[in-house]
Order: sequence, then C-alpha cells, then structure tokens
Amino acid sequence: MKKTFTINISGIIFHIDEDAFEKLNIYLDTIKGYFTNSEGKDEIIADIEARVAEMLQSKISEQKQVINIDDINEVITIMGKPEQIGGEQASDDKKQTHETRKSRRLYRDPDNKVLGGVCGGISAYFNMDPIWIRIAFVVALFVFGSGPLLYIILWIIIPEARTTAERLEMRGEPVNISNIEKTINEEIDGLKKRLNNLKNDTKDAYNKNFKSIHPQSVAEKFIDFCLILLKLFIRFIAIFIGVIFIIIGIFLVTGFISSFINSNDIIWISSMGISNFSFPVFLKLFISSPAQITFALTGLSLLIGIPLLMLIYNGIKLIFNFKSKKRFVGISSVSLWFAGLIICIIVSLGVLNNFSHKAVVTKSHTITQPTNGLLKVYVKKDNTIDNLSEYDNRFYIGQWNLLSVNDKSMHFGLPELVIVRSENDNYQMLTYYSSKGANKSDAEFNISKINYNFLQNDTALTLEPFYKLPEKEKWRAQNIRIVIKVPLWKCIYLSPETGNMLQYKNDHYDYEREIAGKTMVMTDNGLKEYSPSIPASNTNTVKSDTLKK
Amino acid sequence: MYLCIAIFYLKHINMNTDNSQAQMRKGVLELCILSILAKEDSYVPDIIDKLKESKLIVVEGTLYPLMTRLKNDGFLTYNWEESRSGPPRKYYKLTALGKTLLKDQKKSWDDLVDSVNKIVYSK
Repeated sequence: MKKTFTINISGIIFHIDEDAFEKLNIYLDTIKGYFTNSEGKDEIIADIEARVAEMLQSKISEQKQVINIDDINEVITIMGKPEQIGGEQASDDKKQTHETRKSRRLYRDPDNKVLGGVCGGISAYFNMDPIWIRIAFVVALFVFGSGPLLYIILWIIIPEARTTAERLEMRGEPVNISNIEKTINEEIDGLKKRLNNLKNDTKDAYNKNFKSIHPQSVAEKFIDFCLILLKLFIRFIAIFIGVIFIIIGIFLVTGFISSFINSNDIIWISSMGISNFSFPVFLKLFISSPAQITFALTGLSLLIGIPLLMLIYNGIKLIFNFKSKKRFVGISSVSLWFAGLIICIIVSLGVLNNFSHKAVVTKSHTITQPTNGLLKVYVKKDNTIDNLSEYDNRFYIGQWNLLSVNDKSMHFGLPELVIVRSENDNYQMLTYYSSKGANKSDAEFNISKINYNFLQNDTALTLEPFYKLPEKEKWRAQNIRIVIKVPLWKCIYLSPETGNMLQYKNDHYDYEREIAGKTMVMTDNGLKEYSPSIPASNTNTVKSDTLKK
Repeated sequence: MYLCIAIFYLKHINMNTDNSQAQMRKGVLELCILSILAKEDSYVPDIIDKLKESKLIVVEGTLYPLMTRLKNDGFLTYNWEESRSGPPRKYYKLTALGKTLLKDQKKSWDDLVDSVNKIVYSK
C-alpha cells in the first residue's frame, strides 16, 4: 500500500505515488533553480511541464492509473538531468548562470532557524557555525541595543530559501540532482516542508497571475513575526521552568547524597553550616544487620533518588527542547522506582516485626517516708549533658534521644515522671519499664538492657536525668515511666529540672512544666500549688521555712 | 575572504573549459534544429527523434531553453495544436528571419567543415 497524491501538471490531473511525487517535485524544483535568472524562464518551465505531462499521460491506462517512481525515472532519462539542461543554459547565459550555480546567495534558512532563520542564512553564506552569528546578535543587544532592530530589518530584506535549489544556493553548493538528493536526505521532515513549498509555489503562481510582486505581504510577515514571538515566549517560560527544575533537583540530589554519608550523628552540621541528615546512622538505630541496612539504603536511594533525577532530566529536556523518543528512560525509571518502593516496604515490614510485641516490667521501690510531709524530688546533674536543647545535633523520637558529645555517640531516653495520688498514707514510687520486640522474650530482653538509677536520702529523691542504653542497642520504643504516689494533703517539691520529665496534667495545670520548681500539695482534686491558706492536713502541716529550701 | 575569491576564480576557469564543448555543440544543435524545421513544422519530441536517428544524442530538456531563445530572438514561431494524449503541443516553424539564419549558418558550417577537413585530412 502506498500513499498517493493528486497533482496537476500543465492542467492535467495525475495520481502519483508519494516517492514518485517527491522525486518529480525535486526534479522540477531543480530545473527551476537553473533558470531563475534567465528570461523566458516561465515559458521554458511551462514547456517542460507540458512535455512531462504528455509523457506521463502515455503511461496511464485503464489498468495503471497511478504514476510510480519508474515512470518518473523514465521521464527524467528522456528529459535529461537538470545539470544537462542547465549546462546548455550556462552557455546561453553564462554570467548569470554562473552566479546561480557557483556562488552563494544570502537567504534565510528555514531549516536552521530560531526566529526567522536570519542567522542560519548568514552562517550558511559565510560557511560557519550559526551559533557565532547568534551570539554576535545577542551581544549586540547588550552592547549597542541594535541587535534586534538589525535582525528585524534583515528578516524583512532577506528572502527565505524556499525551494531545494535555493537552499543549495544558500550553501553555495552546485545545484544538481545528487546534491539535491543529499539535501533531501538531510531533511527528515522533508515531505512536510515540500508540501508547504508546493503550497507556496501554487500561491506564487497565483500571485504572479495577478501581477503581485511580493509573495508574502508585510502584514503576513508581521503575523508570522508575532506567532514566532509567542512561540519564543513559550520557549522562554519552558526554559525558565527547566532551570528551576534543575536547580531544585541539584540541590535535593546534593542533600540526598550527603545524607548517605556515615557520621556519628543522625543530624550533623556540615562545614558550610547546613544541617544534614544521615540515613545510615538513622537506619542503624533500629536495623541490626548491616546487610539489611544496605538493602534499605538501596531501596531509599531508588525511591527518593529516581524522582530527583527525573526532575533534573525533565528540566534539561525543557531547556533544550528535545523530545526523547526513547521510552525506556520513562519505563526504566518508573520500574526502578517501584523496585525501590518494594524494597522499602520489605525492609519496613521486617523492621515493624521487631515492634510487634510489647513487654512491660513494673518495679516497686520502697522509699523512706519523709517525716515532715514533704518529699523533694531533684534531678541529678549529668556530667556530660547539661541542657538538651543546646545540642542542635540531637535526634529524638519521643522521649528517646541520640546525641554525640565529644565525638562519642550516646543513646539515652528521658524518663516520664508522673505524680498521682497515693491510695494509702505512704509515699510510693513505681517504675514501669517498657519496650517492644519481635516477641515477648525479645522485648523483655530489651528491657533488661535499660540502665536507670535513682537515689534517696532522707527527704530527698534524686532521679537520674536519663536512662542509658548500650551503644549497640537498637531503638525498640524503650520507655521508662516513673510514678510517684503522694498521699492526700501531703506535699511534694519538684525541682525545676524535673520539668523535662513531667507528664502531669490536671484541670488546674494545663502545662506540665508549671508545677516544676514548686511545692505542690495533693488535694482531693489532684495536685495544687501549696500556699499556707490551703488547709493542709492537721498532722502534717508544712512549715513555710522548710519550703524555701 | 581571499580564499573565497580564489575558489571563485578556480571554478570560473573550470567552467570555461567545460563551456567550449557545450558552445560547439550548441552551435551545431542550432543548425540541426533549423534544418529539421525547414523541412516540416515539428514539436520538440519530433526534433529529438530526428536527432536520435542521426545519432546526435541530446536529452529533450536541453531543447526547451534553446527553442525558447530562438523564438524570442525571432527565428521561430509556433502554433498550438490539440493533442489526444495530453496538453496542447507547440508546433514550431521557421520565420523568414529563421530561414535567413539557416542559410547563413549552413554556409558557415560548409565553410567550417571545408576548412577543418583541409587541415585534418591534408597530407
């Protein structure tokens, strides 16, 4: 099956195969190219066309209704190659033909254009890379501001190379069939263009009939110009978006790559003052096997890295306006991304399994009852860590913290401190250790690794600020909850440092920290700030001077 | 720039040697066409056929510019004749001026052949 065109040669209609049409069209174009400057050009062309029509007519019969490429080849053999015909012309009209054949002419190059093909044409004339001409025009914009004006003038003055022959002239190549063929092969979308040429040619012919000298009026040129400006504007926006894509992409990719650097801390401050997040350290917190960590890192890098790379890729595509016909980029990136997703899901499931069971161990501590009805709770000062909020490399999940001090990584957790009312007349203290694990015994084993102590002497209870974990221990949602039970109408003093640990809440004190640093009394409605006006229990009146300490 | 000029001249010289042959052929061809038309009015394919009979190989396309030039110079004129197979044909015939030209050219051809023969075949 072949595509067929309908053409009109010298007033006779032919059906012609696509390839045959192309060949004939080039042939006639080329011949026209030879006679551009000789008088009687139209008549010669008309004569030749009439003869071609006659010859083609003889090829048509009832059985064969379409002109094919063999017919055209035969016609060309009889008629002669364009250079043979043109050769005769050369002797007729030496000087003019010489110019036509051998020297370059300045045209606008429609095949090599950004705006109007002016630069392309100039570069073809001087046989150089158009980029230099374009750069010169852009530089002229900045230096004299004259670039665009000059460009528009040239655009209007210089004719466009429409026919193949003109294009060859533009490049200074002799117009003959082999060159034409070469040119055609260079044009992948040649057919479309030549169809346009045909349209233009008929338009030209039409215009000539009406003695119109300019085939393209100024108005048409202006509309063309506006359209091109619009296109240019859209391109500009596309490039702008592309640049933004690339900048964002590169930023994220750099950040992402740096997050794979192994360091002591999960969050660390680079030399440039940018805080970074370290995936390997993060994963080490709860994944024990190095193989699984590598696996997880691979998954993560695909899951996050692929979209980032695609962002940059699309940015580049927008800037350089190339349409990738290779679908594998899209397909492979999507499949890699899904592979990453699956890996991440598998790893997550494995990790989640380690959190499937929870164990709680409760320890009850006997504490000596303070004689004056006031229990003081202090927090022991830690030698290494003063104030958590001062460490900007602290990473924490809930009450649990990872911190490196002096290049030494520390795992520790903040215990929760809860004050409740005692069910009898004694102060009591309970600690609940909890942890998760793959199974019950695993969870209990994790609890056994938690190291937490407190001291009591006389009326004061000194808590350690953190519970510590051995460095190799993984995070399994370990937690310690300290419950201090205060009997009714008895008092408790909570030092300001306990504020980090306190979880207390009741109607009177919305903010847990409000009770830190104060003496509180246990009432029927829970803790209240102690003041002499509050009726304390008869037997255990707290003296105001003891409160000051 | 100078390189361009140099190339231009080289091509120019090349062209001239090419042309001398074409020039000679053109002169002879003109005489042949005029002679054919003197016998009967013809259209281009007829002329081609006659030329081929005499083994003067010329492609058809070559003739059209030549015919047009001769016509424009007033040596030929033509009539349209309807054709059953295609567009109307141009039948060319000699004008009075053309007949004079033929006479002149015949004479100079005979002279030329004489002179050339004398040189080529002289012993």
